[in-house]
Amino acid sequence: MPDVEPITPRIRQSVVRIPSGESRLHGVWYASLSPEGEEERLYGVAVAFFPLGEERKGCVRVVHELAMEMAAEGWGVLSFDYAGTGESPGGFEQVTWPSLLADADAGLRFAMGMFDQHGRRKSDNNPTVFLGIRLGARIAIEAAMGSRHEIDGYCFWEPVFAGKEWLEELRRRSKFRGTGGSGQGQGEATVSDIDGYPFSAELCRNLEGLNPANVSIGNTPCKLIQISHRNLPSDGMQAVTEQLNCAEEIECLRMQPFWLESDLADYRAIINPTNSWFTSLV
Amino acid sequence: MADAPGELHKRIAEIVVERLFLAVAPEEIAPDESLTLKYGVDSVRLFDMVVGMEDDFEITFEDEELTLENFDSLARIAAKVAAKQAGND
Repeated sequence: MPDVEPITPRIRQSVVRIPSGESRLHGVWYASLSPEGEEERLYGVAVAFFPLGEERKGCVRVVHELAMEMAAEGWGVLSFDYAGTGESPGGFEQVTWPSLLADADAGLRFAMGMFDQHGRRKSDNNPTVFLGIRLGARIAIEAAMGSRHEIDGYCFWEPVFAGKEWLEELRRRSKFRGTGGSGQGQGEATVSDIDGYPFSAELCRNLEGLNPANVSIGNTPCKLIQISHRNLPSDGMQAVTEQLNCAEEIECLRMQPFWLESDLADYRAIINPTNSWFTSLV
Repeated sequence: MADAPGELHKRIAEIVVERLFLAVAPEEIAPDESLTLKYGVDSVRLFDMVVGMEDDFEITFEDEELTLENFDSLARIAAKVAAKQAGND
């Protein structure tokens, strides 16, 4: 057998358990390795924030592919599941907005700890960046607002800031698809089946109370990626660019909403601009 | 303002092709062809298209109208949109 050259850089994917309150969240940490198998120096840290419910499923593969690419570029990347979602312990009926934010903060602290622990920095500028997908964008921003860590850049994929409208869309979709109940007309029920997920009454109240006008990232650099049938920003996305002061940094990708797809054929269209944007911050 | 029937069908066909990313010309879709059976469109994507159509035509479908059967062909979509535009539905 001839010697096989290792693929360089090699990527280590480590399944990690992230302490968050009484729970230990499931996460995956991506970092590149030297040919000797040691973890390479890192440029910075990226944390991915998933959306909820069915939308999360369609994002897992795309985030994995992006994380592999970013790790190859020298980033440490964390993707993780909030308690009650994905592979983290707990049931979805236990998810509340405060629990999501607590888990998001735990994810950020864990990622910073990994970076500090390895402590071998590749440059003087070691940015911490957030990727937020759909409702994950709002979670990312609120996690940043509540953290002592400064966030150096955001990239949001088709962000959702208005919880009430998102929940209403989910209810209507649920009705249309016949997946679970619509979550309406269930009186004082503590849990509503919406699009196949048991939303607690508290989470519904939390989401309905999310005012999009309260979202702010100050002067932090931000890139927005619109994913739709359009080549130009929608009115809603245009308003978001103004709200986040990133009118110069919007990209409109004409592609199917990947969070609704079980299998997206072409990840490159979204991975490349995201990776390039984050790397431009180093 | 309500569209003329021919124009409405044409517009809807264009929207369907565009929003569902179908690899077919709008005029090639027969009015009664099932979008789910003929083009493999699943219910999630079809719903996404229906919501988009509300924006395009500035109409709102009632929750009880939101069934897959009501939107599974150009003819059915056109009937729902036309009724909304006429204020009959």
